[in-house]
Amino acid sequence: MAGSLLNSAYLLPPIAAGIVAFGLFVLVWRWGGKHPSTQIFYLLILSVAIWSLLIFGMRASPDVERALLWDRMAVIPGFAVFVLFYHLTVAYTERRHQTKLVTAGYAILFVLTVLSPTRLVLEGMRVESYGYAPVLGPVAYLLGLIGIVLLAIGISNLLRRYRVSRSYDERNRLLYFLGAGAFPIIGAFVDGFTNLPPVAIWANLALILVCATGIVRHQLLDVRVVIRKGLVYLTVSLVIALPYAGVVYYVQYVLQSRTTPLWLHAFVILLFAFLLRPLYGWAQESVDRLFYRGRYDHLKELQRFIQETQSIVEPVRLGERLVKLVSDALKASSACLLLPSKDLLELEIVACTGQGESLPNRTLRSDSRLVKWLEGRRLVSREELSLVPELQSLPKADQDLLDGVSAELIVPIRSTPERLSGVIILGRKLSDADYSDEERVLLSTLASQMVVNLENVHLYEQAKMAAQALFDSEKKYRELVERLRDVIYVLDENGTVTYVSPSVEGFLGYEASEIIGHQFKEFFEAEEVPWTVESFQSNPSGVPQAGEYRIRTKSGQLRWFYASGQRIMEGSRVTGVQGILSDITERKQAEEREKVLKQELDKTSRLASIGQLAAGVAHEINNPLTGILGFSQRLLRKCTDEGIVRDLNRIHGEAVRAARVVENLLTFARRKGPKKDYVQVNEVIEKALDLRMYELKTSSIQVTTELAPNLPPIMADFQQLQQVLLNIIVNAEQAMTEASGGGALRIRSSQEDDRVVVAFTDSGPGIPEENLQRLFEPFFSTKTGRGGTGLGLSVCHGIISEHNGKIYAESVEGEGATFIVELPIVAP
Amino acid sequence: MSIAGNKLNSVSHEELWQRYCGFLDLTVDEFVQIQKDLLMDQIRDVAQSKLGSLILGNPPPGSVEEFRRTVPLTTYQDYEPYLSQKREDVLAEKPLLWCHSAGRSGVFKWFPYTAELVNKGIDRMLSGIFIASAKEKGRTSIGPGFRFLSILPPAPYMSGSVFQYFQKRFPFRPIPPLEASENMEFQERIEKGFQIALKDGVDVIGAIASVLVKMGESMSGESRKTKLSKSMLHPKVMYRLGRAFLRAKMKKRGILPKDIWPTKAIMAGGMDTVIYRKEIARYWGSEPYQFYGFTESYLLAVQSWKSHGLVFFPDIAFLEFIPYDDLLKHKDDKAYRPSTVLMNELEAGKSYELVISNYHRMPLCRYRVRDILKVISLGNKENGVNLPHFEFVRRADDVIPLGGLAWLDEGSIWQAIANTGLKYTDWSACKEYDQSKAYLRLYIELKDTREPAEIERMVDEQLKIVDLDYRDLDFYLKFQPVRVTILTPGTYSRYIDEKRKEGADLAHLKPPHINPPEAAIRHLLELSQVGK
Repeated sequence: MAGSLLNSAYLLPPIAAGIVAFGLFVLVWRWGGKHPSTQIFYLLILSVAIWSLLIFGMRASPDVERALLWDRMAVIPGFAVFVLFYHLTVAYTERRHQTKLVTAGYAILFVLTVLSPTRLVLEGMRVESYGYAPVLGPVAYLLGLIGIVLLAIGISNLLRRYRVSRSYDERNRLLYFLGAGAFPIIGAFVDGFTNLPPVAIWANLALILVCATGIVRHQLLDVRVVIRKGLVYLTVSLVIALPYAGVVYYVQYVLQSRTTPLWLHAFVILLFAFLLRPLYGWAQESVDRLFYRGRYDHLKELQRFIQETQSIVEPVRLGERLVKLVSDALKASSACLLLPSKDLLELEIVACTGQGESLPNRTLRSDSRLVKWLEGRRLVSREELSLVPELQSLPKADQDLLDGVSAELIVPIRSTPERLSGVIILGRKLSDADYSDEERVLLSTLASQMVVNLENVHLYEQAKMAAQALFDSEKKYRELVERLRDVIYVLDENGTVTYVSPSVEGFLGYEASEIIGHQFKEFFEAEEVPWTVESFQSNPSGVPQAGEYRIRTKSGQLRWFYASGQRIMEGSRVTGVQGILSDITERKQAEEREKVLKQELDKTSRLASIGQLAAGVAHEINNPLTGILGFSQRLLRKCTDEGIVRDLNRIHGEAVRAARVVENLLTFARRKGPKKDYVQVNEVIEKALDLRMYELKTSSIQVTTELAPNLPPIMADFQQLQQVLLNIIVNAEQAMTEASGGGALRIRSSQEDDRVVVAFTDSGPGIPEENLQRLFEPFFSTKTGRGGTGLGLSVCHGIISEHNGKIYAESVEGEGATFIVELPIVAP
Repeated sequence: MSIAGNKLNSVSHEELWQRYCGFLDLTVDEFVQIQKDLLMDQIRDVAQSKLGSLILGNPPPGSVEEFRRTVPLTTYQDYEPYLSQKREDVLAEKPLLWCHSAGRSGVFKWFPYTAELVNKGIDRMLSGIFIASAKEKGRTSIGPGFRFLSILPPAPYMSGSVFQYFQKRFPFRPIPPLEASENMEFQERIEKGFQIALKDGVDVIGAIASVLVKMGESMSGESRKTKLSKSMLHPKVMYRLGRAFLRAKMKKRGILPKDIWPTKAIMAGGMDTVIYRKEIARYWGSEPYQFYGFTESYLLAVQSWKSHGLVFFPDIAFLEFIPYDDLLKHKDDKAYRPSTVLMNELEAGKSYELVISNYHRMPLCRYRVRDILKVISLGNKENGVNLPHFEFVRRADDVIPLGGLAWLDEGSIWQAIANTGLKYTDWSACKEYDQSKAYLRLYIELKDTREPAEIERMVDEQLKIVDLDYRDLDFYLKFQPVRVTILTPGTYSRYIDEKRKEGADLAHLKPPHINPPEAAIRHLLELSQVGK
């Protein structure tokens, strides 16, 4: 007997159950949480463990007496399992009014503890084919019945809760308990009321295993998923197994053999693995669609969302897509997406479905308690939110927004743990059920995806704004540059023009494109390029350089520019030059005119001073000179001494010369005003030439005239003008004769604007530079000792000035000289 | 905060605690932020009403700081022309009901109660009940369907008025049932309540502390003389009395109320709660948890869990506190405008006068309640509540100044009398002059026979313990200012009977304890003569 009892099938289950129960106790104690129901569950597992070990003691007992002793001890934890399971259901479902019944259960357990050593509970022990079997006393039946009633009430509690619960997850958890509760009933019934081999060990083990799974892993393991997943794989296996079996059967049929060689199986497996892979995928998808429609749809929607939104860069469109997806996929009554406003002071609804569309208040302040709180959180339900002390009295505006969308779930979208990029608010489900964990996971995933999308949008917006800012800035500066009168230029390190502003055309006649690509220096007169990149390279201080230069225009004119340049740096290397060209031609011309005018003024003023002086001197000299002339002439008439006459003649001759000088001085000093009338300049020229024609011919001077026909008359004193021209001709004649005994004199007349210009160009030796400025000064003469008074040209200057004209000379030494007379045309 | 009725059965105790008592976890800054948010809501809500624009000005303040800077401190006089006439047209919202305060001078002060305040008030009453019933933080033993024995003044007093809406907000069982007690007198309701409680038991008692003591005294005294009545034959009553008898026998004493009704929570209001705390615990088994509130705003604070200090609710009214020094300056110079501080600016150990501004579309703004509160701590490590804890000191105007050194308030005198151990029916006190010296004249009706001189000595001794300033009177001035007039037995009950016959309201049945009107004292003395 003992030998048969010690067979492992009889002994192993209780010891295995005991070890598993203890293991579970440790696991649940470690991870089971602090809920009262979990704490009761510790005791439940502990009871099962103790009971199992006591049953092991009973089964391993060498005789009936000892087996009875063990079994009498075992009934106490055995009954405790019923009471504790019932207590567990009461605590879990919080059916407080049943606490008295719980107390009663424990009281009965206490009574049982007292009665267990007596025959009232277990009368004895008998030996069955499988091992020891208790002989139940009268109280045992009552206890069994009480235990089953407690279990039934417990199951009823769970069912009641199952019916009222709207939470998918809680209902799922309750299924565990309900399933678990059925095992001890079966165990108790079989062991108590039938002669079948004992099954309570297995029943109780199943009870705690299922409960443990429900409590410890209810968030992770979905009982429906287990069933459905099993069906999926069964279906898929059948889809593959049936053709496989068909092939094997067919091969056996062909080979007329009942056995199939191993290689054939291997071959068929490989063949199916290759051929049926698409079929497997199709089957998997079909079954998934059939069994996990919700989850399948969610995944598909999520995939589609990710695909569709990858290219969306507008927050509003992205939001619309998101809220539509969420509403459709989760069957939510409303969904809203709030994103930060541009000034970041608020979160505003950018997209909404359902009730949210007509909300009066569509914003949450960024510094509100709700938003601040959400910054550090993940998905929360409105229910959970209402338990947060600092959020229990939200400002009306926030409350109204949440109420307006019947907010049920609030999903912060966080790009970093502390930064809120947006918030998704979901209304109640259309079915009025709670959102399941699976749906929450989908929402969390969507929120994570949204973070990526929003970051993309954010980056795109930033890039767009930066590009726009750049464009605006570029446009602003381009317009500024293009509106500038000056020319902006940029050179590369080789001195090639890479940019020049369009205004260049107005100055130089070149289009910008005609300049870009050319060397900068090409445009400067004589390539007097102001600076080069090298000059900046060697100028470590980088001080901008500037100067005034002449640039030849497209039409060949030279224009003055003020050119400035500033180096362009890349690190420590000068990579180019940029600068400005300002056209200063007019200024230069004005300066030139001013200079000439100044010279003229100086000259005029000097001449005027000299004239005044000369006039004064002449006036003072004239009187004594008249006396000298008169008395010298009188003495000459009276005197006969030859020696004295010779001396007197010298006196008289010098006095005459002095008188002439005085006369010229007076003429220069304009003591005598011109008598102006309309005069044809060409006539004056011809007259003057006639007067000197003989001398010119005898001096071997070739005279050519280029007199412009139809010159307008000018207002002038004919005689005085003739005197001027004669003076110039005589001077030229003397210069050429002295230099080379002859030469050529070219006389041109022309009209330039409102002036008549007469130019006398001789082929004489020319006038040195230093003399050019002094030609018209009184008493300046290069004919010292040759009878020149130095008053001729100064008299000419005086006369021409009196006519509001100009007289000047141009000459390069050795190349002759040109005297130019300009006289204003006065309309008759 | 409220939970839909169909969900209540699935709500755990932790969730109930979190919903109703979660405010105890706030930091003081979070508390103040909530206060400010709700104040801005309130300003927006009431600014357009006539009364609102009168007080707040036009345009209304745009920030809390501006509100405190520009809106003047108010008293009932500012609202009296409208509220005494129950002018609903000047309010921001049509009130759900009107309540009146006791009114010391015999004139009631009327206040409107909006539906929002009533709901919030009920939630806060539940907060107190859950706190009072908790054995540890977060573990209340009260759930939906609890039995609530109410010994509170009926409508239109605040407590009774709001109580009628309680059941709509949270499922509980009022004892006596509201419908049955609707037309009963206060006394009758109490009797009916205890009758039902004897049968069905009680989870929570809400009462005025002195009433509880009185009932405890009478029950313990009468338990030996109790005769069997028909109502006691009910099995439930017999079970309850039998159990009480056993309990009392085991303790070798007479039956006390706590033997009959082992309650889960006792809620009490009024300053006598502190005075009678120990006695209530002796009679009823546990110390009462104190509510602090008044008609102007309903419940404002509750005794914190595991502590005797009061902790304010953040969502009933905006709270400002006038420092006591400023209050004294204002007393001397009425032109001086006292400053106020907020909850996060208080200092431990200092006293303040409370200023409230209603939330929930109620009309009062910067209203001086005239209550002096003392900050006993800025937080309590033992109960883990990081909010200031207060104790009620006295009414600002209910003091009897003596010798320029001591200011005795109702609480001090009451405590001193209670400490003497005298058996008394009631008392009144006022200031009296004799040859330019000020005395404290105490009128007291005793239940046993004593000489006035003996009582003067006993009260004087206790006052020296209760009030340190009073002790200085003797030290510096060698002056014992207590004068006692013993009223004959039955004086107060005759006074109450007469007042009841005159149709006086419940609040005016007795003369006030401190500074009663001269006419009331004269009448008490006349009635005392009758009893001789």
